[in-house]
Amino acid sequence: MIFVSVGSHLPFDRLVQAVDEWASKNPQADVFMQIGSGSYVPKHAAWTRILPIETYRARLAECDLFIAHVGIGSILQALQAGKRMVLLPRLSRFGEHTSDHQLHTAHRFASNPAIAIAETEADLGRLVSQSVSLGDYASSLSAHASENLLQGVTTFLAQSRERPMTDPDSPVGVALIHPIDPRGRKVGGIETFIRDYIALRPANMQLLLIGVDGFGDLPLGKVTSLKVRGRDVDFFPVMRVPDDVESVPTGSVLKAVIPRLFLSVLRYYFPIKKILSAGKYSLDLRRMELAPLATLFRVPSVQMLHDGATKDKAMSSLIKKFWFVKQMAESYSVKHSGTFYCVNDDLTDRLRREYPKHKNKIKTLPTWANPQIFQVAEYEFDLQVNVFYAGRLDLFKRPDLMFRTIAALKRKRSDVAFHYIGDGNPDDFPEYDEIRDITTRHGRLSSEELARLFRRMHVGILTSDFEGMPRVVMEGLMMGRPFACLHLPQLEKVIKDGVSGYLVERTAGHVEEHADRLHDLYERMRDGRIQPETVSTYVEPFSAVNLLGRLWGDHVALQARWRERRSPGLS
Amino acid sequence: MRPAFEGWKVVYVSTFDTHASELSSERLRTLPDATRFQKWALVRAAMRALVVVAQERPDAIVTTGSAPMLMLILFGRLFGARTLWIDSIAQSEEMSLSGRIARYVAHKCVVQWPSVTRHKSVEYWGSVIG
Repeated sequence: MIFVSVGSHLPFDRLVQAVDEWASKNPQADVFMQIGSGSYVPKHAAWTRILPIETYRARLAECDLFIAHVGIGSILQALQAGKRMVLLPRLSRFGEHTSDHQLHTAHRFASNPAIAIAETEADLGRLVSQSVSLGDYASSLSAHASENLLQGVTTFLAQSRERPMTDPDSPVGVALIHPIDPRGRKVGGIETFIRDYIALRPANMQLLLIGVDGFGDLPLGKVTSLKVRGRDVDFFPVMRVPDDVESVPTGSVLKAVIPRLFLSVLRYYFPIKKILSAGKYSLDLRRMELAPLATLFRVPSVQMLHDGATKDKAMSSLIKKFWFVKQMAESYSVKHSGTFYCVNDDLTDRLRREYPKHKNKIKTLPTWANPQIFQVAEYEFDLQVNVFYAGRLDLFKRPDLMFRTIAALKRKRSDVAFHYIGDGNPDDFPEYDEIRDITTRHGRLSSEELARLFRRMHVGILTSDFEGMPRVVMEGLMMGRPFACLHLPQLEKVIKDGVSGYLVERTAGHVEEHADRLHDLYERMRDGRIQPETVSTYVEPFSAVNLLGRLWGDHVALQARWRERRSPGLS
Repeated sequence: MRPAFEGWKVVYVSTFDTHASELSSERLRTLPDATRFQKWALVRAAMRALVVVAQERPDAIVTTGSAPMLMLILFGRLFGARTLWIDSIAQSEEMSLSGRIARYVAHKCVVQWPSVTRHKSVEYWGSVIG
């Protein structure tokens, strides 16, 4: 079969007519033409206006000879398919193209043995008759751009990322609302996130933290200047919650922290509104339930969704009971926030599917480990294998599976020590009994204390049913500690089997397999097959400054857009 | 070119929607095709380009051209994107008209044939066919 294409851009009647004439003289030949928007219609050959790309590819693959204009796309595809071709250049004097560049292109490809260039229509017929019996021509054409071009584009794009959105030095105000005392010792994902936020933010960012007083020594409803990791922060406590109280609610909604915080913020509506208006703030919200506050204060907001809870998975009974509140909060905050960040791609995809109108503002921002605190450290080997987990013991974290896995490992080798960091109570779980004797409970630790402890640790364990981007994993990996985790899709980015840990599939025997993997990881560390530096390279793309930079860039852009909208005619 | 886009969320813009099948996970937006001979088509393409840029808010735009993509670069720049024009590989003797305009519109303008780098500030990095 002879396949003819004029490209799909502009008509090229001269080519179509010339091939049609050749076909009339060679009735035995099977000719198929894609003629685009031409006005000349072939009489001696099958034709169509335009083919879908798949069909086009198929025709090209099965043809014996390809006839076309000197279009670069047509040529490249035919070369990749290993076809011989006869080409006729479009000429500007016949209105076939805007310029005579096809002549130049033809010139450049003229030396290619697979390509015959026809100068005139008469020439075309002769070349077709000559070429049609020759068969395919094997070519070696690279499907990728040249290395230098790729490098150039990559560098160009990297510069785009560093581009400041507006004047980098003009002051930006961000108000964070979260039930936290920055002086407190909670080590959960969000708490650490906020401390990093305070410590690593750019110099021109004025930060107002609307939170809770954990120690009962600060005046409520007033700004107190605090120093957190050496950086100033304006702290505006609106209520008191003792720092050692677990924030997981168990009683009624009104006793839960978030609704109380919401109401307490409203109690100080006017003082807060005054600060926000004077300093041109945008809100940074970590909980969807707080989204209406942005509307009430009439300021733009960036929303972040930290947890990937779905109704069918085990979690606190209260959340389950008031699921509709979560649902309403979600839809409200997606609709009203300026940018909506999810902590992993799964969440982003789900929300984009559910809110297609808002999909452009829904993005992913994974959590990170603070590189100043969690630095790569050599392994320290002593008499025991130190397996660790840091975090809460919520049901969805599956402490039962974790303890059973540790027990399985204990049966396998006698030198296992399990370290639990956090303020959950393992005694709530009967599975804990078997490993009580080998467990050390470290209680709640600050990031610095955690980093110090991690130096002695070997392998991390995680058994959660769902997670955002689990902080303990990021921090452990950053220090070079591998992890054996039950499989979660977002972990595939940072855990490579046998190199930075293992992801264990949820099969019938996963507890035993999980224990084997922990054992195997430790052995690999011992004999040098796993190195701390290698492990930590897997979390480099998640470094705090990189990720926070995107968030801050959004605040700046959001405020600029917001001001434009509010004051048309200005600027 | 795909290896250069690693680590970015990529949205492809083409004048053909027939290419959708070649892009698995990425999204494809389309512009109506137009040349400088078709004034109205150009206006339509420009309006569409504005819509695409306003919705996608890209951080950067990389294009190998044709007139509608010039509109994309223009509007993209107004919305704060960094823009790179890679003149068509079909232009082996001189830059395309769009490319010559792009020299003033895009942040950076490169060509795919070493012999075409006659203008100051226009560079040759390599070509899309290795």
